[in-house]
Amino acid sequence: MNGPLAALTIQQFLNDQLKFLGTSELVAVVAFLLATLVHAVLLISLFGFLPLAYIWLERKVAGRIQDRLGPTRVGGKFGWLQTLADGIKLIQKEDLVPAAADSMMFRMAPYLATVASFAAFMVLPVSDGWVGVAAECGAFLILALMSLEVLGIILAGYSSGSKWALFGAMREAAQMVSYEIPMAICALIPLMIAGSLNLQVVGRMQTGGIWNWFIFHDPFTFVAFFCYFTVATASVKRAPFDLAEAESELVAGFHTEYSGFRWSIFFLAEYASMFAVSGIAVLLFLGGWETGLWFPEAALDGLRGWGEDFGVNGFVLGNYIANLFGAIVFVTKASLLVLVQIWVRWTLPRLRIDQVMTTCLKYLVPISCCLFLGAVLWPLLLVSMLQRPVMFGPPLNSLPAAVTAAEKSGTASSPAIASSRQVEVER
Amino acid sequence: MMVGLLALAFLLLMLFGAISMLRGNSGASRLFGALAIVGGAIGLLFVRAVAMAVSIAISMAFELVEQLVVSAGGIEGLLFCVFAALTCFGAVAVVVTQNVVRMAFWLVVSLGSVAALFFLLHADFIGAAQLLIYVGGTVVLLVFGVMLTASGPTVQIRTSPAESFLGAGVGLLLLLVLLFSMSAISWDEVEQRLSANSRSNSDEPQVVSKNAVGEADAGSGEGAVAALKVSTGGDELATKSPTSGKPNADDQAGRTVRQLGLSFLGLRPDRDLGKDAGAPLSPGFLLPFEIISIHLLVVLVGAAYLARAKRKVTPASSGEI
Repeated sequence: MNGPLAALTIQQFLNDQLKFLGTSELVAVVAFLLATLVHAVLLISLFGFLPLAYIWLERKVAGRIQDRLGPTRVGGKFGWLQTLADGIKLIQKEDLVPAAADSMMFRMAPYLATVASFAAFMVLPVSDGWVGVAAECGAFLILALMSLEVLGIILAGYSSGSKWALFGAMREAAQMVSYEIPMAICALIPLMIAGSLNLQVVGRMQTGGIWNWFIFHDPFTFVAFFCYFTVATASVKRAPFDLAEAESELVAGFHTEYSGFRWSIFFLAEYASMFAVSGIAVLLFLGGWETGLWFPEAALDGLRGWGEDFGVNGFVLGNYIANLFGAIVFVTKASLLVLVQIWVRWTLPRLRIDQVMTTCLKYLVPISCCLFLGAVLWPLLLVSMLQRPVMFGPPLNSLPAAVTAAEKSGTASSPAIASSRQVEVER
Repeated sequence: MMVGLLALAFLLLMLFGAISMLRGNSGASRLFGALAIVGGAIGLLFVRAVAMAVSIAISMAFELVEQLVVSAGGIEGLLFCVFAALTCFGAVAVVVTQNVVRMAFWLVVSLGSVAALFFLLHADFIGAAQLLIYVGGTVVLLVFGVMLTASGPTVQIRTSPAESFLGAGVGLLLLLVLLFSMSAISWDEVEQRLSANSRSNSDEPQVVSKNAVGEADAGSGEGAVAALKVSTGGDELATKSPTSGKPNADDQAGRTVRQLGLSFLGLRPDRDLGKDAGAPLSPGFLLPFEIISIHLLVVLVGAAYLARAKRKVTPASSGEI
């Protein structure tokens, strides 16, 4: 799989393999549908598996922080299968709709929230070239898609016909609408350094060592990461910002009236969004799918382009293994950030709603604006003082180390290299 | 495979029936054997029939899909039809529904489908902006407003006959305007340029004639999108396919961000690329954009002023102020 073409590669591959079916139109359609199916199944399995793991992690971490054991029995020693058992239990429960509720909206709302959360996974690259939809404006699109989740929650709260749910939804709406602003500004800082909205390009620019990660690019991005992480925690309504479901005041907030399956997919959406915002943080600040260490990256660069083409030009085994490793690194990094979110939840007390709004409008928005301004001015300062645009390491380029090595040795024929050079041409 | 297994199972059933009929020592077992033979035979026939029906249905479905796709103009055309229908359905549902929150939901369906149409036309940035601004922003604010004021007359909206007559008239006028502007565009020219762009894999930037794009711009939104597509197709900023080194329509699909950004600063790929070095550049979109945002700021300040709770001003304190 090569570069920005990942979304088309499976389709191209199937296009060549399905020739026996008949006319080219039919083959194109079947290949398109099958490729879509493959992408969707892969993403849904990620979307379903990660929340299961995170809910287990949440219970375990909460238990340890509160000096308990957490789940211990289901599925062996550490209670691995506790979440799955809970899920099966929840599916069996009765699907209640209150008499005062707007039935259609009440049934629809959980799916809206879940679909919006899943849609964010479509444009999140998990590895170099592994992305469901390779959109040029991926960062913009993912922020847009994540802002849709609030709609499902508001509709759920409104249509429940309950005062608790209505209050939860109103808090959620006020919180979301205001926290979107600093989130977008904080995300803009690394995007501005990268000069691209394409998340794959942003990830690829941070290759070649830990000093190339955007968090270490300048002091402003360093602070911006923590600012983004705070805002992201608030935007997925995690404690200490979980006013929408403040159980001490609002019973359970917007999902007071929900039970069974519909209740559980709200949780699926929440934990999946936690992964999505952490994934964005990893891509924008923490080097994406790179370990940042010299040895594994050198080994992976040697692996890229190894093997024979399988159906499509550039569809080789070496790239596959390297990308699989990259995906594992990416998921691990994002999971560590999710772990921090869980840890924060069980450590800090909940804010009041006015404190939440004050934090956003009086502190986070000005801070993020100042950081943005500073990040704009920083390269100018460096150029005038040190005659170089970056502090550490070589100047940024969007070419991975493999390309530089290949250019030195004079063999620049691999499609992966060609595609990344194309990015440079574009720049 | 499945058919074979099922047929084998029914054959075994028939064999079992025959054995139990021949060697059975009671009437019941003989009867049971006969029943098993008959049932097995019926099952065999049934399996054959089902298998034939399924194979016929599959081939018919393939033919149907093929015909549908060819008549709609490829899978993109088919999806375009689906989302266009969904857009219209959502819009009609907004009008027909009387509950404001349900209206908001149907608005989400309609606006989301419009965003999908933008994605299908390879205008990714506009599609994302549509999602962010309309679905994520406007509708959320709408529902938020309804929630704050949720009581009696605002939740249910009933239209009087006069109002619906007026609304239908305005809608009809808008439809006429759209139809006239659509018929004013020479679609053949746009079509030719699009096909020329997808066919010609020339490396030199393609000069897009000024008036043609202007004409498309002057038309409806669709024309503008088509013009955008034209401008992304052939210019030198567009990337080359890694496999062949030639520009490939699929690779460039949706890469409009850079063109939009350059257009903002005054370098418009659709107009300036074929010009001499000394020629003046077209005006960028930055100034109009800033003017619009200042407008929005003014509106916001005005709304905040109007909505702010008025303090009671007593004569005594007003003298102090």
